[in-house]
Amino acid sequence: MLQAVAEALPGRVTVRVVSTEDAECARYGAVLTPMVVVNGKIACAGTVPVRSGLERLVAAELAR
Amino acid sequence: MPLDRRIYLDWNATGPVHPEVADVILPFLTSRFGNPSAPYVLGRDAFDAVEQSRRQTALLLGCAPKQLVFTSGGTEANNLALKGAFFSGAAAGRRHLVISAVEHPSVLATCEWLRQQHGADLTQVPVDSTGRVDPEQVAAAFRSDTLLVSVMHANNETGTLQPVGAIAELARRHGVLSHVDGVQAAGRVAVDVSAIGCDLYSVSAHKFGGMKGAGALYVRDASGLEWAQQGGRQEHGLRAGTENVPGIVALGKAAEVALRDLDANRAACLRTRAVFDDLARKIPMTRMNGHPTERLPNTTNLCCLYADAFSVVLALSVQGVCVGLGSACASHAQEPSRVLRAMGLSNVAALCSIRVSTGPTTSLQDAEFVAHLLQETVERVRLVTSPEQIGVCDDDCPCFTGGTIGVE
Repeated sequence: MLQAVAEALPGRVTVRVVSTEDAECARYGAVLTPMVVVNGKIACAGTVPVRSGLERLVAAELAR
Repeated sequence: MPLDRRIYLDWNATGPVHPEVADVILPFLTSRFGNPSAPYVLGRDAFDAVEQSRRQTALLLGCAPKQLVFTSGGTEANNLALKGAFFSGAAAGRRHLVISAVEHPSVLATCEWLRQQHGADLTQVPVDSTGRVDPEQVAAAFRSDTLLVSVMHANNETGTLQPVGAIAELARRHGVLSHVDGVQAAGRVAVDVSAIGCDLYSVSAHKFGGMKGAGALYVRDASGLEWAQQGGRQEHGLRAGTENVPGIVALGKAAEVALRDLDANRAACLRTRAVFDDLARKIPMTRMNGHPTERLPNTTNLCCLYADAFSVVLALSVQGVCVGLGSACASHAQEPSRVLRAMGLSNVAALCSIRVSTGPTTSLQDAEFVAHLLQETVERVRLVTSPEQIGVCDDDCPCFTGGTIGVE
């Protein structure tokens, strides 16, 4: 789903998957997956994001 | 974010050791390390320190020092109260226990263990939508074989205060022992166990400026209890095991400081709590879980519907803010809070509830900063965790209370 959201905005969004073993992941306190972080801020944790909401959030971030 | 730069708003989980308490502990970790049971000077010094703490703690609770048994904390105090009463009373055929539906796991799990392993019969009395127990409903649960009723003074998740005096009075009239889990209340609201009229009252030091690993149980009359822990003759023979002297000293000093500062701390907490109470009005689709007035001065539990609480808590954590979660986090999934479910919240609403609990040193500036951040975070998380079919919920929306809309 994240890839699809990014592909709808070619060249403007980068998606990176981080393993729960990664120290970067620990920094966010990711004890439940999935966790989605947008521009360094947690969008959701332990729950699957709603696509339309994620699209709105990404659009808002790009507009900043 | 460095640990000392965080804004800590989870004082119902634990709090820092009060600076005045920290000052008195240190010698008991280094030079004054004696065993209170030893006959020489070093031992007598430790014994005297323990007895001094007993007097200080007794003043906080309004009881005689000899009516206090030091424990390793609130959980052990609750265990001792319930098991001690049960193992004494069960021999006389009284095996029925009554608790509220919102008790702490250390009460509920102990009663469940007594039920499963020792044949206790357990009744859980429901609460209303503010989390309060009706004393008449408690009395209605009493039977001829009822041994004990246990209702907490203040709930750890919502801060709702229970009518423990009325319950103790009804228990006494029915010949039933009454236990109060006072872990969240002691040191935060005025406590007088004589005025309450209960038989047993549990406290924990780290909730009001003491150290983790120390607590106490008030026992009105020790003759009615069978003690579950065998060993030495410490604590008047009621609780075996070498005393945690630094922890007990800290408990006594924390009790002294909490009693001295009770009114000032209450006023300070009420000021910061008001900032978070106000969010129920400022953030759309948000309610305060708990009693509007009969509540701890430091606790606000907010249900921000469709803003997943776990996501909100972690998002705040990354920004240096610590608030509590209104649900138990299992290894692979979240479980809705049993307390909030008992108050009538839907699973969805319970999983969208967070607990903010301030302390006497929480500044108004920090509270206002976090309130603003919380508002932003809820809006952000809600954007990606609200089900698509949900619009704007009004005050009567069944999403709050388990109706048909939502994702149960």
